[in-house]
Formats: sequence, structure tokens, C-alpha cells
Amino acid sequence: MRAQRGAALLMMTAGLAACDGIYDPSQPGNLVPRTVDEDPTLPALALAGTVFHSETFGDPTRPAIIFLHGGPGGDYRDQVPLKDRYDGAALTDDHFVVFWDQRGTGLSRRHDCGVFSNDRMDADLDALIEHVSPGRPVFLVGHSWGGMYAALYINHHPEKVAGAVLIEPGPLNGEMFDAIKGELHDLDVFSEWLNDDVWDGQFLTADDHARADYHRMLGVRDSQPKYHQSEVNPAPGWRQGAVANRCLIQSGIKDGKAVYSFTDHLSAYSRRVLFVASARNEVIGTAFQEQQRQFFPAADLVTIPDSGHDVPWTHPAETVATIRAYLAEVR
Amino acid sequence: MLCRRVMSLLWAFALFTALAAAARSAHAQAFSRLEAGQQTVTAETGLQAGFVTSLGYATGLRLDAIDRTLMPFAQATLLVAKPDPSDYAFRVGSQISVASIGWFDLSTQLAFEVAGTENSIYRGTALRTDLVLLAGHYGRRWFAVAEAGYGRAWLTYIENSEYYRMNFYADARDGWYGGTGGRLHAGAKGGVTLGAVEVVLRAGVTKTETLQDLDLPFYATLGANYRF
Repeated sequence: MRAQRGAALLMMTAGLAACDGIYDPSQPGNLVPRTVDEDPTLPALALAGTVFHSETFGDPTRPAIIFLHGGPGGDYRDQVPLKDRYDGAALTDDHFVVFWDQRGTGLSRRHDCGVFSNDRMDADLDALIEHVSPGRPVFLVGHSWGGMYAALYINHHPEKVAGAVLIEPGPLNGEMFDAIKGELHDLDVFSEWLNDDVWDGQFLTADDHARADYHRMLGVRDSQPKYHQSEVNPAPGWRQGAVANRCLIQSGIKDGKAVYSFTDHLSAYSRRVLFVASARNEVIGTAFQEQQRQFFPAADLVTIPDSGHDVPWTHPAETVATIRAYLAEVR
Repeated sequence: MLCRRVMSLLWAFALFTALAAAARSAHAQAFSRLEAGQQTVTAETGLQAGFVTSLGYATGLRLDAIDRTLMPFAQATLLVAKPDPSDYAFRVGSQISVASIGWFDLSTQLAFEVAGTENSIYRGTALRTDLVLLAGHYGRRWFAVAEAGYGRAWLTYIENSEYYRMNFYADARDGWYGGTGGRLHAGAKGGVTLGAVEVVLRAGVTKTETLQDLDLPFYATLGANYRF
């Protein structure tokens, strides 16, 4: 028995040596990619007391379109194809296109929980708009949480937004949230993804950003089956922002009830807004967006056939065509 | 690739060794306290880092040199939400009374664990330890103790999934990771004895080692042990 144990120990040691040592799970670059703070080759923008991962495309003298990615806590990787040319036309033909990873997520700088609030997010977008389009209103295109983010901003700064495309935004206020909160995630105690997620706590605990962001990936693929996102062509990302996600959501909830509202002043926004819904989403699809568009005095709704919630990724040509048609109409 | 094959062989060998050792000195966890010569088989189910079911074995061994009874145990756990042999834990350890003053007993439990998981982003195998303090009363027909513990994954082999590499981070590193996670827990354990059967309830709260919230911030299990 003693010989067996000795041999096991020897083989384990040899195995570790063969694997070139032991990695640090907290070190960016091992389990998750480096952010702008650790990788100076990434395109970055220092603004509003943080550093954003950001890229721009097209002529900066043209009207700006600022893309707002989903989450909170996602990144813009799945939106990048929207800059490409489809059927001979691209958004960059007439517009200056801006992609950015929001505060604390994607490849942007990480922050502690207390930093995150809707006011902070509002200030971040305001600073970005002043930076890329000083004194000139911009167009906002937001997907999912990004659509909520666009509404949050329009609610406070209608004069700075020339128009907006809200692609299947989540609930724009606490009342809408309460109406669907039981449907947002598959929380069946027997579901595989949920058990994998909590079982992971035996292996990795979210005690720093790298481990927290890696752990958060667990729910990305399977936690929202009623959103009918593609399984054969899943939307990619760079890196989740676990703290941004958790803390921004917590900031809008008091005593278990959603108390946020991005709709208080939307009735004063006179410009036309476009809502885009996916055909298959059972939770925040066409019927839900039909209710949400009523918050704006002038809003249209387009449903893209055969699509799920990840419609900008799976149907980029249709998405770009829809955005271009809207821009042509409101210009 | 070579590393993966070497580690697969290592794990097969290590698991065989651990099972062989367990077969010789077999034991379990969710029991109250055993006297020298007593044995018990245990079954436990409930929420504990997932919806799990465990089977185990324990016995009481008299150590005259220190005037104590050592209670070595072994326990195998599977995540049973959707039975998947990739999500498992196998632990061996021992419980011993540290101090007894009147009706009060202070015991400690130390376990070594091999745990595995396979999920959408990685396949992992962790080498863990779990140290628990148990303070309370063990009577003839019932027991009630407070428990507090610290479990840590000291080494974890992580193999990132194709899904993760294809869609998120192509350069993610496979290999051994040190100190991937630690959990604290505090709660209570109690039970009653009905003939040869002991029914045990455990419940409590759990946090990470830096007191961050876990996705499942509590545990609650029901166990049944048969003594012979």
C-alpha cells in the first residue's frame, strides 16, 4: 500500500512537471483574455475615469451610430458583423460606427461592485457621445440590455439622440420586469445548466474578476431557453463582466422588487424610434415589444423572421437592412 | 495532447489507488458519532452545490494511544439533477472527538476529495480538502451540533471546451491550476436514532473564502444511516 501511494505521488509530480507547472486562475490570459489594462495592443479609449475597449469604423465626420451591447456584462464581439457590407451596402457608407465594451465588461477595465449604477452608466455614455460626436446628436443601436441602456439615456438626454433602434430590449421599467421575471431564466432545480453552475462552486469560486468572469460563462449558452438563441451558430463574445452584471442588476432592485425606470420621460421624445423583435423569442419577443414601444410617442416595430434573441449575430444582413431602412426614413 | 494523455493515466491510477485504500478502511460523512467497532452505511440527498445524492460508509476505530475513537469514512457523491458521471465527488477522511466536557463535545472532520465536473465551458478535476468543526451534543437517541467548515480546491485540472474556445477565448490554457476556489460554510446538523437507523438533517449557509456570494448560498440535505 505504501509503495502504491509512493508511485501515485511520483506520477502526479511527473505529470505536473510535464504540464509546465501550475497556472494561476486569477491571472488574465489563462482562463479569460486580458483586458485593456493588461494588453496594450487592444484598441482602448480612456474616458470618464475608466478605460474602454473600443473600435470605430467609417468617416468620423459622418453622423455617429453608437452600438450598445447586451448583458449587462456582455461585450460587442457579436455586433461587429453589423459593420460589414451586405447586398452592396454598409452602415459605414453614411455613418461613423462606434463599438465599445461598456464599463467593467468585455475587454474594458474592471471595477469594484460599488461603482456600478444606472447614473454611472448614463454618465459613461454621455462622455462617449461628447467624445465621438461633440455637439451633434447620435444614433443609438442597442441590443437586449443595450436597448434598455439606450432608453435609459434617451430618458435623460433626448436632445442628444437623433434616433434609436432597440433590438429586443429587456424590460424598460420595473413593472415590465415584474411581468416576465419568472420567465427570464430557466431556474428549474433539475436543469443541467443550473446544477452545473452551482456545482462549479466546488472548483472555481468568484473571488476575483478573472474567476468570476469565467464562471459567469456557464450560464450564457443554456440559461434562457425561451430566448431561442442559435445552438449551431452561437453568438461569440470575448469576456463576460460578472461584477458589472451582478452589481448593475442589484442597483435596480430594492427589497426584491425591481425599482428602476427608464421610461419616465420617454413620452417627451418626439423622434421616431424603431423596435426590432425576433420571431422566436417567447419572453421578450414581438408581443412584449409591442407593449414596450408604447412608451415612445412614435415607435415602429419590425419582427425579423426565423430568428431568436441573438438576431444581430445570426441575421446580420437583415439587421443591417432594417437599420439602414430606418436611418433613411428618419434622416 | 501528451500532457492530457499523461494526466489521464495518472488519474486512472490515482483513482484506483484511492478506491483500493477506501475498500480497505471504508467510511462516511453524514453520521453522528460511532463507537469503536460500530459501522454504518450512509445515504444522503439534497441541495449542496447542486442537487446531489451521496452514498458512504464509516466505522469506529479505537485508538488506545490517544484514548479516542477515530471515525474514518468514505463517501461518493453524484450530481443527480440529470445523472451525469462527469459530475462527481469522492472523498475519504476521518472524524475524531477533540474534547468532551459533560454533555458537550467538540469534534473535527478532515476529508480529502477528488471531484469532477463537465459543463459547457470546461471539464475539470479538483483535488480538495474539507475541514469541519462540529460542536454540540451526542445523546443515545439524538444529536444536535453546530458545524463550520472550510473547503478548498488546491489543484484543479481544467480542460477548456471546444465551445468556449470557438466562441470566446481560443487561447485559454488547459492544465493544472492552483488554488481555484475556497468555500466556507456554517450550519447545523441533527438527527434521531430509530433502532438501527439514524435520520440526519443538515442545513446551513455557504460563502466563498473571501465572503463573496455563491450561486447557491445554502445547503440542506437529508440523510439516513444504517448501523451494524
